[in-house]
Amino acid sequence: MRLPLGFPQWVIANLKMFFRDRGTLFWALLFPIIFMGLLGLGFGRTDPVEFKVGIVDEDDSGWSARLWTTLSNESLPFVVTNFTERGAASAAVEAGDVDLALAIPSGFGAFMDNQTLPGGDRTGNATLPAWFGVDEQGGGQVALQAIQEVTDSFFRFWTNSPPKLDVSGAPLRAQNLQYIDFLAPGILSMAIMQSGVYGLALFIVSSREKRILKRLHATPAGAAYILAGRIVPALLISFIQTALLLTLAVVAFGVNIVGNIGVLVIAAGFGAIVFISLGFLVSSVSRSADSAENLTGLITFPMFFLGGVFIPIERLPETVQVLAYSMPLTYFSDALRQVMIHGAGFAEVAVDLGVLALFAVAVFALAVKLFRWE
Amino acid sequence: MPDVVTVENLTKSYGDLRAVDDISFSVQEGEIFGLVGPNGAGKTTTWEILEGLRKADAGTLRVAGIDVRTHRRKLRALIGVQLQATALFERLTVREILEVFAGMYPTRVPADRLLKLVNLEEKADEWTEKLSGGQKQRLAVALALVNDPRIVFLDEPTTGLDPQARRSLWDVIAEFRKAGKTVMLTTHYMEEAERLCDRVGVMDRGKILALDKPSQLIRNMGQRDAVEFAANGDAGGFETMPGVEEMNVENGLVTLYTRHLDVTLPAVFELARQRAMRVEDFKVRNASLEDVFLHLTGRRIRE
Repeated sequence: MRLPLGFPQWVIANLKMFFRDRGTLFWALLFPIIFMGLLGLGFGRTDPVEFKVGIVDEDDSGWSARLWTTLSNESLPFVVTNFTERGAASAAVEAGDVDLALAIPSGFGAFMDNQTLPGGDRTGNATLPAWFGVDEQGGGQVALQAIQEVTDSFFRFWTNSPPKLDVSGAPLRAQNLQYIDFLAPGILSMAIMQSGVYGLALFIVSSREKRILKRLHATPAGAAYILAGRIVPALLISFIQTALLLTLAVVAFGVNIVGNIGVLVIAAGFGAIVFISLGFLVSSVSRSADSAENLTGLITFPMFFLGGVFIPIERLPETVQVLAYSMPLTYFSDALRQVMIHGAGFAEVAVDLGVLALFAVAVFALAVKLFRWE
Repeated sequence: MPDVVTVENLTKSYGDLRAVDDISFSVQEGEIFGLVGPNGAGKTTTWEILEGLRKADAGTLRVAGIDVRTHRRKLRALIGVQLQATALFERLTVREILEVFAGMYPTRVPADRLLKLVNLEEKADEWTEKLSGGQKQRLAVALALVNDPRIVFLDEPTTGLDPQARRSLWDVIAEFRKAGKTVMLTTHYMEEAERLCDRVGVMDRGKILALDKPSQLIRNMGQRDAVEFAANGDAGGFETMPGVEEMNVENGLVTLYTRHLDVTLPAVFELARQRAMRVEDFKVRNASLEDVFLHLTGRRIRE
């Protein structure tokens, strides 16, 4: 059959129906935004009141222990952890685990002895190497200044002379990951799931119930034409949703999208296709709009809680993890998160996307097989 | 006029139920052809098989020269269809719906022409959920015309409409004849069939009991009048009264058929007086298709 000229019109008509239905509009577009807004306000970025500092004590002397004790003092805004070597400490800075790493080099004790013991050589300076994380908030930079002030006071206190301890900070590109960074890709995956499954399932089932599908069947258009006319707008809406949610996450909650936007959008497309197929399958096996709604809930709710939206899969009990890994949302939320916060490219998310593609093909084929006009 | 629809020995069963039981008929180009009968008679099943929406169990079917059983997709492009009790997309305007459906066909009629034909020009930009029942049905009929079909199938297009809406739809259907289209119509309103149809098949329990022009069907029962009344009590004895050729009693409603009103009427009142029977809802009328159905099946058609 030749490609019917009216197809674009049919797609546009479906888009119009979507935007004219306040219910769908709310659940598909507005709800995820409100949801992210509320969670963002609840778990959003907080100004750091404490700096996490990692210390590498290479000197292992009484003086280094004294400096350590000073930095750990409860009245100071530092949470100090111990590192055995510089590499591990700077890696922790880059991962965002600590705001700053400070090394106390060997010879520090000897230098301090010279500064304080009678007859000591008081010339020269000591340098304490430090690595601070640079992120959009500049927490590491502030920590560096705070440390310098503490070491200055430390030196003044013990020597009664102007400070000679130089904290030389090297900036490191760091990630400042907070819960909202984890949540944003999760909510995006959830929103695409909800609108994909609900949007297609309820539309097809209610059209069947009202015998609109039967009437469409009496035209020469065919199932592919009719369904594609609904699937294309559903995909489009998923992309609109992606754009809106990402904008909100970036603008309002300072989420940093590390990865490539193109990769992110394509990954979102994979997920949209999976969940649209799932909605199609729900419509094929449901006899009424009510049962479609129930079945949709039955499918999406476990994924909502276990699919890596709110809780990392690794934190789930092992038996539940098995369940989680059988859910498409798990792979989808992971793919989005990998791209958004770890800057993953196609190679890194290939497994996720592959699994999603398999899901989509299997589910779509089954839905087509079970499809009924009336 | 050539035949545009031929049905030979069509049979369709649902489980044990024979919905359509070995029926045959043919329809000429330009005709308005009707099937009348009660719900469950098999009219809708017959239409939906001819529209390619259901598969026949047996029979030879040709519509517009196409073998319905093998070329359903091709058939759908050539016919127009209004299905019984279908809804429309609520959140599209009348014009949008017409355009969306037209887009599904290789041949299309401009929406404005259809709107004018079914008298919905003023509602063109209203969402269909705002339309009245009659307006919705007119739109459904307009949708059957978007591809300028040779044959239009209408399945109970006026069911559930008030008399005024029904008449306005009759006018629309009458226009089809002028445009040279063949109309296939089902209805359970006998008046509708009498008014619109060139030929009518009376259908009951999957079978076509009689098929002819409405006037001929009535004439075949003899040039008779119908006397109708509600009898409180024993209706026995009325059938043997002078002039009475046939009697039907259903739920206390007696219908007598006679060629001699002048002898029958006084006899009816005489018998009623003798039995001290109250005769109510008394009516004398010309025989109609309603009576044909009653004659053929012993039952009345109910809505």
